[in-house]
Amino acid sequence: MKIHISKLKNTLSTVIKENRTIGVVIPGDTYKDTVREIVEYIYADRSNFWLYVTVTKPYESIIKNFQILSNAPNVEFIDCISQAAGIVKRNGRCTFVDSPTLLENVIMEIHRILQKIPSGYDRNVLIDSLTALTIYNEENLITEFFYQLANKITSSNTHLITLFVEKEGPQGFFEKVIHINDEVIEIMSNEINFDLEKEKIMEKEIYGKRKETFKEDRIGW
Amino acid sequence: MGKEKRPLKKIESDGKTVWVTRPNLKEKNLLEERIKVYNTVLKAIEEDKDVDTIMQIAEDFGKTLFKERIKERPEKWTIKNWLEPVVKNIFNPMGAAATFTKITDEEARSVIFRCPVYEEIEKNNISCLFSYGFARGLLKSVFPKGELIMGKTMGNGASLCEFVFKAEATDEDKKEVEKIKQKFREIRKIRHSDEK
Repeated sequence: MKIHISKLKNTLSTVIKENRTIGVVIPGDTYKDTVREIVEYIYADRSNFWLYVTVTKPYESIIKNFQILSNAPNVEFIDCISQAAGIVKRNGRCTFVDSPTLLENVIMEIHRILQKIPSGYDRNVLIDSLTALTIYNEENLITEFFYQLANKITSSNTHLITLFVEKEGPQGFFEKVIHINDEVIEIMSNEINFDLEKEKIMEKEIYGKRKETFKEDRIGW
Repeated sequence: MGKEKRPLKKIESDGKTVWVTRPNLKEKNLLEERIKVYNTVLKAIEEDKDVDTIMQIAEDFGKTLFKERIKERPEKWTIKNWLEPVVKNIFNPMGAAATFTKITDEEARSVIFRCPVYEEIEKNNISCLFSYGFARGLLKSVFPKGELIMGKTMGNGASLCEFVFKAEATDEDKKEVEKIKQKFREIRKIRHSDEK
Protein backbone atom coordinates (compact mmCIF):
# COMPACT_ATOMS: atom_id res chain seq x y z
CA MET A 1 0.00 0.00 0.00
CA LYS A 2 1.17 3.49 -0.82
CA ILE A 3 0.43 6.17 1.76
CA HIS A 4 1.24 9.75 2.66
CA ILE A 5 3.55 10.08 5.64
CA SER A 6 0.82 11.71 7.72
CA LYS A 7 -1.10 8.40 7.61
CA LEU A 8 1.80 6.25 8.79
CA LYS A 9 0.90 6.03 12.48
CA ASN A 10 -2.71 5.05 11.76
CA THR A 11 -1.63 2.57 9.10
CA LEU A 12 0.93 0.98 11.41
CA SER A 13 -1.60 0.51 14.18
CA THR A 14 -3.87 -1.56 11.92
CA VAL A 15 -1.19 -3.34 9.89
CA ILE A 16 0.79 -4.50 12.95
CA LYS A 17 -2.29 -6.24 14.34
CA GLU A 18 -2.73 -8.29 11.17
CA ASN A 19 0.83 -9.03 10.10
CA ARG A 20 4.07 -10.36 11.56
CA THR A 21 6.59 -8.84 9.15
CA ILE A 22 6.14 -5.35 7.74
CA GLY A 23 8.40 -3.48 5.36
CA VAL A 24 8.38 0.31 5.24
CA VAL A 25 9.80 1.72 2.01
CA ILE A 26 11.09 5.27 2.40
CA PRO A 27 12.04 7.72 -0.37
CA GLY A 28 15.50 9.15 0.43
CA ASP A 29 14.34 12.66 1.32
CA THR A 30 11.60 11.41 3.66
CA TYR A 31 13.75 9.33 6.01
CA LYS A 32 13.90 11.88 8.83
CA ASP A 33 10.14 12.53 8.81
CA THR A 34 9.28 8.83 8.55
CA VAL A 35 11.49 7.90 11.49
CA ARG A 36 9.97 10.74 13.52
CA GLU A 37 6.48 9.35 12.85
CA ILE A 38 7.57 5.83 13.84
CA VAL A 39 9.26 7.11 17.00
CA GLU A 40 6.07 8.92 18.01
CA TYR A 41 4.13 5.73 17.36
CA ILE A 42 6.55 3.72 19.53
CA TYR A 43 6.33 6.29 22.31
CA ALA A 44 2.54 6.16 22.28
CA ASP A 45 2.56 2.34 22.20
CA ARG A 46 3.87 2.10 25.75
CA SER A 47 1.97 -1.03 26.70
CA ASN A 48 4.08 -3.01 24.21
CA PHE A 49 7.81 -3.67 23.97
CA TRP A 50 9.97 -2.25 21.17
CA LEU A 51 13.51 -3.15 20.22
CA TYR A 52 15.12 -0.52 17.98
CA VAL A 53 18.03 -1.95 15.96
CA THR A 54 20.04 0.88 14.45
CA VAL A 55 22.50 0.56 11.61
CA THR A 56 21.99 4.03 10.12
CA LYS A 57 22.86 6.27 13.06
CA PRO A 58 24.52 5.85 16.45
CA TYR A 59 22.25 5.34 19.47
CA GLU A 60 23.45 8.66 20.88
CA SER A 61 22.31 10.56 17.76
CA ILE A 62 18.89 8.89 17.84
CA ILE A 63 18.37 9.93 21.45
CA LYS A 64 19.55 13.47 20.67
CA ASN A 65 17.17 13.72 17.73
CA PHE A 66 14.23 12.04 19.43
CA GLN A 67 14.41 12.93 23.09
CA ILE A 68 11.03 11.35 23.85
CA LEU A 69 12.75 7.96 23.49
CA SER A 70 15.41 8.72 26.10
CA ASN A 71 13.14 7.74 28.99
CA ALA A 72 10.59 5.55 27.23
CA PRO A 73 10.50 2.42 29.43
CA ASN A 74 9.18 0.19 26.64
CA VAL A 75 12.16 0.68 24.30
CA GLU A 76 15.60 -0.92 24.15
CA PHE A 77 18.26 -0.48 21.49
CA ILE A 78 20.85 -2.46 19.59
CA ASP A 79 23.47 -0.18 18.05
CA CYS A 80 25.46 -1.76 15.22
CA ILE A 81 27.85 1.10 14.34
CA SER A 82 28.99 3.05 17.42
CA GLN A 83 31.45 0.38 18.57
CA ALA A 84 33.18 0.37 15.17
CA ALA A 85 33.48 4.16 15.29
CA GLY A 86 34.64 4.10 18.92
CA ILE A 87 31.84 6.38 20.12
CA VAL A 88 30.15 4.08 22.61
CA LYS A 89 28.58 5.62 25.69
CA ARG A 90 27.53 2.72 27.86
CA ASN A 91 23.90 2.71 28.78
CA GLY A 92 21.69 0.03 30.30
CA ARG A 93 19.16 0.40 27.51
CA CYS A 94 21.50 -0.10 24.59
CA THR A 95 23.51 -3.12 23.49
CA PHE A 96 26.48 -2.33 21.26
CA VAL A 97 27.41 -4.89 18.60
CA ASP A 98 31.13 -4.81 17.69
CA SER A 99 30.56 -4.33 13.98
CA PRO A 100 27.67 -4.15 11.49
CA THR A 101 29.28 -7.09 9.71
CA LEU A 102 28.57 -9.43 12.65
CA LEU A 103 25.07 -10.29 11.54
CA GLU A 104 24.94 -13.52 13.58
CA ASN A 105 25.62 -11.45 16.71
CA VAL A 106 22.82 -9.06 15.82
CA ILE A 107 20.37 -11.99 15.65
CA MET A 108 21.71 -13.41 18.92
CA GLU A 109 21.32 -10.08 20.71
CA ILE A 110 17.79 -9.62 19.38
CA HIS A 111 16.91 -13.11 20.61
CA ARG A 112 18.55 -12.50 24.02
CA ILE A 113 16.69 -9.23 24.61
CA LEU A 114 13.33 -10.58 23.45
CA GLN A 115 13.63 -13.53 25.83
CA LYS A 116 13.73 -11.14 28.80
CA ILE A 117 10.31 -9.71 27.96
CA PRO A 118 7.54 -11.30 30.02
CA SER A 119 4.81 -13.08 28.08
CA GLY A 120 1.65 -11.06 27.71
CA TYR A 121 3.45 -8.15 26.11
CA ASP A 122 3.46 -7.67 22.36
CA ARG A 123 7.05 -7.52 21.14
CA ASN A 124 8.21 -5.49 18.17
CA VAL A 125 11.58 -5.25 16.46
CA LEU A 126 12.40 -2.24 14.28
CA ILE A 127 15.33 -2.56 11.86
CA ASP A 128 16.66 0.86 10.82
CA SER A 129 17.51 0.03 8.07
CA LEU A 130 18.12 -3.12 6.06
CA THR A 131 19.49 -1.05 3.19
CA ALA A 132 22.08 0.60 5.48
CA LEU A 133 23.47 -2.88 6.13
CA THR A 134 24.45 -3.04 2.45
CA ILE A 135 27.14 -0.42 3.14
CA TYR A 136 28.98 -3.02 5.24
CA ASN A 137 27.90 -6.41 3.91
CA GLU A 138 27.47 -8.26 0.64
CA GLU A 139 23.84 -8.46 -0.35
CA ASN A 140 23.60 -12.27 -0.23
CA LEU A 141 24.67 -12.19 3.45
CA ILE A 142 21.99 -9.62 4.25
CA THR A 143 19.37 -11.61 2.37
CA GLU A 144 20.28 -14.68 4.45
CA PHE A 145 20.27 -12.59 7.64
CA PHE A 146 16.84 -11.22 6.83
CA TYR A 147 15.38 -14.66 6.06
CA GLN A 148 16.74 -16.03 9.33
CA LEU A 149 15.52 -13.07 11.33
CA ALA A 150 12.05 -13.15 9.79
CA ASN A 151 11.81 -16.92 10.49
CA LYS A 152 12.83 -16.54 14.12
CA ILE A 153 10.55 -13.58 14.64
CA THR A 154 7.47 -15.21 13.14
CA SER A 155 7.92 -18.29 15.33
CA SER A 156 7.73 -16.14 18.46
CA ASN A 157 5.09 -13.62 19.45
CA THR A 158 6.96 -10.75 17.79
CA HIS A 159 6.44 -8.28 14.95
CA LEU A 160 9.26 -7.28 12.66
CA ILE A 161 9.18 -3.80 11.13
CA THR A 162 11.97 -3.22 8.62
CA LEU A 163 12.90 0.08 6.99
CA PHE A 164 14.14 0.16 3.39
CA VAL A 165 15.54 3.43 2.05
CA GLU A 166 14.90 3.78 -1.68
CA LYS A 167 17.95 3.94 -3.98
CA GLU A 168 20.19 2.78 -1.15
CA GLY A 169 21.87 -0.56 -1.70
CA PRO A 170 22.93 -2.44 -4.80
CA GLN A 171 20.69 -2.84 -7.80
CA GLY A 172 18.20 -5.67 -7.45
CA PHE A 173 18.70 -6.05 -3.69
CA PHE A 174 15.38 -4.48 -2.77
CA GLU A 175 13.44 -6.80 -5.12
CA LYS A 176 15.18 -9.82 -3.60
CA VAL A 177 14.13 -9.14 -0.02
CA ILE A 178 10.99 -7.04 0.00
CA HIS A 179 8.67 -10.02 -0.62
CA ILE A 180 9.75 -11.58 2.68
CA ASN A 181 7.45 -9.08 4.38
CA ASP A 182 3.78 -9.96 4.91
CA GLU A 183 2.85 -6.33 4.21
CA VAL A 184 4.71 -3.46 2.58
CA ILE A 185 3.98 0.20 3.29
CA GLU A 186 5.37 2.62 0.71
CA ILE A 187 5.77 6.22 1.83
CA MET A 188 5.11 8.91 -0.79
CA SER A 189 7.98 11.21 -1.64
CA ASN A 190 8.15 14.81 -0.41
CA GLU A 191 9.17 15.84 -3.89
CA ILE A 192 6.50 17.31 -6.13
CA ASN A 193 5.35 14.73 -8.62
CA PHE A 194 5.14 16.86 -11.74
CA ASP A 195 3.44 14.15 -13.81
CA LEU A 196 0.75 13.81 -11.18
CA GLU A 197 0.35 17.59 -11.03
CA LYS A 198 0.03 17.74 -14.83
CA GLU A 199 -2.61 15.00 -14.69
CA LYS A 200 -4.60 16.98 -12.14
CA ILE A 201 -4.43 20.09 -14.31
CA MET A 202 -5.61 18.14 -17.34
CA GLU A 203 -8.48 16.76 -15.28
CA LYS A 204 -9.38 20.32 -14.32
CA GLU A 205 -9.28 21.40 -17.95
CA ILE A 206 -11.57 18.58 -19.03
CA TYR A 207 -13.91 19.41 -16.16
CA GLY A 208 -13.78 23.06 -17.22
CA LYS A 209 -14.79 22.22 -20.77
CA ARG A 210 -17.75 20.26 -19.52
CA LYS A 211 -18.96 22.64 -16.87
CA GLU A 212 -17.62 25.90 -18.27
CA THR A 213 -15.70 26.49 -15.08
CA PHE A 214 -12.10 26.66 -13.85
CA LYS A 215 -10.96 28.44 -17.00
CA GLU A 216 -9.03 31.02 -15.03
CA ASP A 217 -7.48 28.34 -12.91
CA ARG A 218 -5.27 26.88 -15.60
CA ILE A 219 -1.55 26.86 -14.92
CA GLY A 220 0.70 27.16 -17.94
CA TRP A 221 3.70 24.86 -18.38
CA MET B 1 52.68 0.64 25.94
CA GLY B 2 49.29 0.71 24.21
CA LYS B 3 49.13 0.54 20.46
CA GLU B 4 48.05 3.84 18.89
CA LYS B 5 44.61 3.64 17.33
CA ARG B 6 44.45 4.10 13.57
CA PRO B 7 42.32 7.09 12.54
CA LEU B 8 40.35 4.85 10.18
CA LYS B 9 39.18 1.44 11.30
CA LYS B 10 39.13 -1.17 8.59
CA ILE B 11 36.10 -3.43 8.63
CA GLU B 12 36.08 -6.51 6.44
CA SER B 13 33.38 -9.02 5.73
CA ASP B 14 33.03 -11.57 2.92
CA GLY B 15 34.04 -9.68 -0.22
CA LYS B 16 33.63 -6.20 1.22
CA THR B 17 35.97 -3.73 2.92
CA VAL B 18 35.02 -0.36 4.40
CA TRP B 19 36.80 2.11 6.71
CA VAL B 20 35.14 3.88 9.63
CA THR B 21 36.42 7.13 11.17
CA ARG B 22 37.13 7.25 14.92
CA PRO B 23 35.74 10.61 16.09
CA ASN B 24 36.82 11.94 19.49
CA LEU B 25 35.84 15.63 19.95
CA LYS B 26 39.00 16.11 22.03
CA GLU B 27 40.11 19.53 20.83
CA LYS B 28 37.90 22.26 22.21
CA ASN B 29 39.64 25.11 20.41
CA LEU B 30 38.98 23.46 17.07
CA LEU B 31 35.30 23.15 17.86
CA GLU B 32 35.11 26.77 19.01
CA GLU B 33 36.83 27.87 15.82
CA ARG B 34 34.22 25.98 13.82
CA ILE B 35 31.35 27.73 15.63
CA LYS B 36 32.99 31.11 14.97
CA VAL B 37 33.26 30.45 11.24
CA TYR B 38 29.73 29.04 11.17
CA ASN B 39 28.48 32.30 12.72
CA THR B 40 30.34 34.23 10.01
CA VAL B 41 28.45 32.14 7.45
CA LEU B 42 25.14 32.94 9.14
CA LYS B 43 26.01 36.64 9.16
CA ALA B 44 26.83 36.49 5.44
CA ILE B 45 23.41 34.92 4.82
CA GLU B 46 21.72 37.68 6.82
CA GLU B 47 23.61 40.24 4.77
CA ASP B 48 22.21 38.65 1.63
CA LYS B 49 25.57 37.48 0.29
CA ASP B 50 25.41 35.01 -2.60
CA VAL B 51 26.02 31.26 -2.28
CA ASP B 52 29.51 31.47 -3.82
CA THR B 53 30.63 33.99 -1.20
CA ILE B 54 29.13 31.94 1.62
CA MET B 55 30.76 28.78 0.34
CA GLN B 56 34.07 30.60 0.01
CA ILE B 57 34.04 31.43 3.74
CA ALA B 58 33.64 27.74 4.56
CA GLU B 59 36.24 26.71 1.97
CA ASP B 60 38.76 29.19 3.36
CA PHE B 61 38.21 27.66 6.80
CA GLY B 62 39.00 24.21 5.36
CA LYS B 63 42.13 25.54 3.63
CA THR B 64 43.35 27.29 6.79
CA LEU B 65 42.87 24.17 8.89
CA PHE B 66 44.73 22.09 6.32
CA LYS B 67 47.66 24.48 6.38
CA GLU B 68 47.78 24.58 10.17
CA ARG B 69 47.20 20.94 10.99
CA ILE B 70 48.52 18.77 8.17
CA LYS B 71 52.27 18.44 8.35
CA GLU B 72 52.64 15.60 5.85
CA ARG B 73 54.33 16.60 2.59
CA PRO B 74 54.46 13.52 0.35
CA GLU B 75 56.25 13.57 -2.99
CA LYS B 76 52.95 13.20 -4.72
CA TRP B 77 49.55 13.74 -3.16
CA THR B 78 46.93 11.07 -3.81
CA ILE B 79 43.47 10.82 -2.29
CA LYS B 80 44.76 7.87 -0.27
CA ASN B 81 47.67 9.69 1.38
CA TRP B 82 45.60 12.88 1.75
CA LEU B 83 42.72 11.14 3.52
CA GLU B 84 44.48 9.56 6.50
CA PRO B 85 46.06 12.75 7.95
CA VAL B 86 42.87 14.73 7.22
CA VAL B 87 40.76 12.17 9.09
CA LYS B 88 43.27 11.97 11.94
CA ASN B 89 43.88 15.69 12.45
CA ILE B 90 40.62 17.29 11.33
CA PHE B 91 37.60 14.99 10.86
CA ASN B 92 38.12 12.90 13.99
CA PRO B 93 38.79 15.78 16.42
CA MET B 94 35.75 17.54 14.97
CA GLY B 95 33.52 14.56 15.74
CA ALA B 96 32.49 13.56 12.24
CA ALA B 97 31.58 9.87 11.97
CA ALA B 98 31.78 8.49 8.46
CA THR B 99 32.17 5.23 6.61
CA PHE B 100 34.41 5.21 3.55
CA THR B 101 33.24 2.57 1.10
CA LYS B 102 36.00 3.19 -1.42
CA ILE B 103 39.51 4.63 -1.05
CA THR B 104 41.82 4.71 -4.07
CA ASP B 105 44.54 7.11 -5.23
CA GLU B 106 41.97 8.96 -7.33
CA GLU B 107 38.77 8.82 -5.32
CA ALA B 108 37.19 8.30 -1.90
CA ARG B 109 33.50 7.62 -1.34
CA SER B 110 31.94 8.22 2.04
CA VAL B 111 28.66 8.24 3.91
CA ILE B 112 28.49 10.46 6.97
CA PHE B 113 26.37 9.00 9.74
CA ARG B 114 27.11 11.59 12.41
CA CYS B 115 27.56 15.18 11.29
CA PRO B 116 28.44 17.37 14.27
CA VAL B 117 27.58 20.61 12.45
CA TYR B 118 24.10 19.28 11.66
CA GLU B 119 23.58 17.68 15.09
CA GLU B 120 25.21 20.21 17.39
CA ILE B 121 24.79 23.57 15.67
CA GLU B 122 21.83 23.71 13.35
CA LYS B 123 19.59 21.08 11.78
CA ASN B 124 19.11 22.56 8.33
CA ASN B 125 20.60 22.91 4.88
CA ILE B 126 22.91 25.76 5.88
CA SER B 127 24.87 23.29 7.99
CA CYS B 128 25.18 21.11 4.86
CA LEU B 129 26.39 24.09 2.79
CA PHE B 130 28.94 24.82 5.50
CA SER B 131 30.16 21.20 5.73
CA TYR B 132 30.32 20.94 1.95
CA GLY B 133 32.35 24.15 1.58
CA PHE B 134 34.64 23.23 4.44
CA ALA B 135 35.39 19.72 3.10
CA ARG B 136 35.84 21.15 -0.42
CA GLY B 137 38.43 23.57 0.98
CA LEU B 138 40.35 20.67 2.53
CA LEU B 139 40.32 18.85 -0.80
CA LYS B 140 41.22 21.90 -2.90
CA SER B 141 44.24 22.54 -0.64
CA VAL B 142 46.14 19.86 -2.55
CA PHE B 143 43.90 19.00 -5.49
CA PRO B 144 43.13 22.27 -7.29
CA LYS B 145 41.70 20.25 -10.19
CA GLY B 146 39.80 18.00 -7.82
CA GLU B 147 36.16 18.18 -6.85
CA LEU B 148 33.82 17.23 -4.06
CA ILE B 149 30.50 15.74 -5.09
CA MET B 150 27.71 15.75 -2.57
CA GLY B 151 24.82 13.33 -2.94
CA LYS B 152 22.00 13.14 -0.45
CA THR B 153 22.18 15.14 2.80
CA MET B 154 20.68 14.85 6.27
CA GLY B 155 19.65 18.49 6.02
CA ASN B 156 17.47 17.47 3.10
CA GLY B 157 15.75 14.72 5.10
CA ALA B 158 18.02 11.80 4.08
CA SER B 159 19.35 9.16 6.45
CA LEU B 160 23.01 9.89 5.68
CA CYS B 161 25.14 12.42 3.79
CA GLU B 162 27.13 11.22 0.78
CA PHE B 163 30.46 12.79 -0.17
CA VAL B 164 32.73 11.71 -3.03
CA PHE B 165 36.25 13.20 -3.00
CA LYS B 166 37.95 13.24 -6.42
CA ALA B 167 41.56 14.12 -7.22
CA GLU B 168 40.65 15.25 -10.71
CA ALA B 169 37.21 16.33 -11.75
CA THR B 170 35.59 15.30 -15.02
CA ASP B 171 33.29 17.63 -16.95
CA GLU B 172 30.40 15.64 -15.53
CA ASP B 173 31.66 16.30 -11.97
CA LYS B 174 31.93 20.03 -12.67
CA LYS B 175 28.33 20.05 -13.87
CA GLU B 176 27.35 18.19 -10.73
CA VAL B 177 29.00 20.87 -8.56
CA GLU B 178 27.04 23.55 -10.41
CA LYS B 179 23.86 21.60 -9.66
CA ILE B 180 24.79 21.45 -5.96
CA LYS B 181 25.37 25.22 -5.89
CA GLN B 182 22.07 25.78 -7.67
CA LYS B 183 20.27 23.68 -5.06
CA PHE B 184 21.80 25.78 -2.30
CA ARG B 185 20.72 28.97 -4.12
CA GLU B 186 17.13 27.68 -4.22
CA ILE B 187 17.23 26.71 -0.55
CA ARG B 188 18.59 30.12 0.36
CA LYS B 189 15.75 31.79 -1.56
CA ILE B 190 13.18 29.67 0.29
CA ARG B 191 14.83 30.47 3.63
CA HIS B 192 14.78 34.18 2.79
CA SER B 193 11.14 34.18 1.76
CA ASP B 194 10.24 32.22 4.94
CA GLU B 195 11.99 34.82 7.08
CA LYS B 196 10.19 37.67 5.34
